[in-house]
Amino acid sequence: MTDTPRFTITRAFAAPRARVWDAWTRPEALAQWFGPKGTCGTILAFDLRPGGEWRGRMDMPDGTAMYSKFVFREIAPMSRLVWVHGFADSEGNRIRAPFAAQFPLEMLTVVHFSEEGEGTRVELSWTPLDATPEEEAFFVGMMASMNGGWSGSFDQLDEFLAGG
Amino acid sequence: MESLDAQFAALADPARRAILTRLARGEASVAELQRPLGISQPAVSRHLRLLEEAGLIAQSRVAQARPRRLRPEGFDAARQWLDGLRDLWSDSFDRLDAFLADPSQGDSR
Repeated sequence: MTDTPRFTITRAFAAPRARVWDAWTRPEALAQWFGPKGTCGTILAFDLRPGGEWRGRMDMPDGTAMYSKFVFREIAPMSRLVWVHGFADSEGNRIRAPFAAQFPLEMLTVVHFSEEGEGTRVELSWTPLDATPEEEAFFVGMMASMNGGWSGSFDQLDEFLAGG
Repeated sequence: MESLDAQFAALADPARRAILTRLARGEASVAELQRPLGISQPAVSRHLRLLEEAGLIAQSRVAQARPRRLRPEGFDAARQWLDGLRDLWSDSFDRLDAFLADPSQGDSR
């Protein structure tokens, strides 16, 4: 299979790189923007050094909580931030995603910061880490249905679904 | 309800995605689906069975040829889940945008 199982998202922010980097690396700042809509996030630990942990709790609208544990791998100020991304129990032990058994246990998150005019471009990618062939297939299928090779045919599918 | 794992496993294969793409244009018989793929009839049948088990396609009962068609509702769970993943980052990025635009939120270190 030639697909690279990689999820990427890119956004340009109208702020200098130093401020964007600060927003990604200071827990008080992260607490104000990181996390899915409709949830309330709390940062439980934040140790910004290779091997250090960023742990958090997300309180869902239905009253339940999900815990995450990210372990930093690489910190290159103002340029690159790399961490191992995954879910955890309330004690910080790594667990599988609560919503899909075949979601990879861990994913490598790479965030790249670069200057773009007066602002800052942020590119984020997710790749499954040490995934089994089934987890890899799940991720490839997931990505393929979102972008890349699938996007053209997905437009057709969208039309079909809209018409159906 | 169809399992999300079965749906994503079904979507992970290029031949099965090609079949879905063809069916997005309208229903087709097994022979019509087999021709452009250049694979054996048992291989096509296996792909069709997996797609059917995942709830993504169905057989029409009208003709003896039993043409296959897409089941639009079969994609709902997978699409919602995918949207959720993308939303995690796009929601966060929207909030980061607002955070950065607020002059009172400068670098306090």
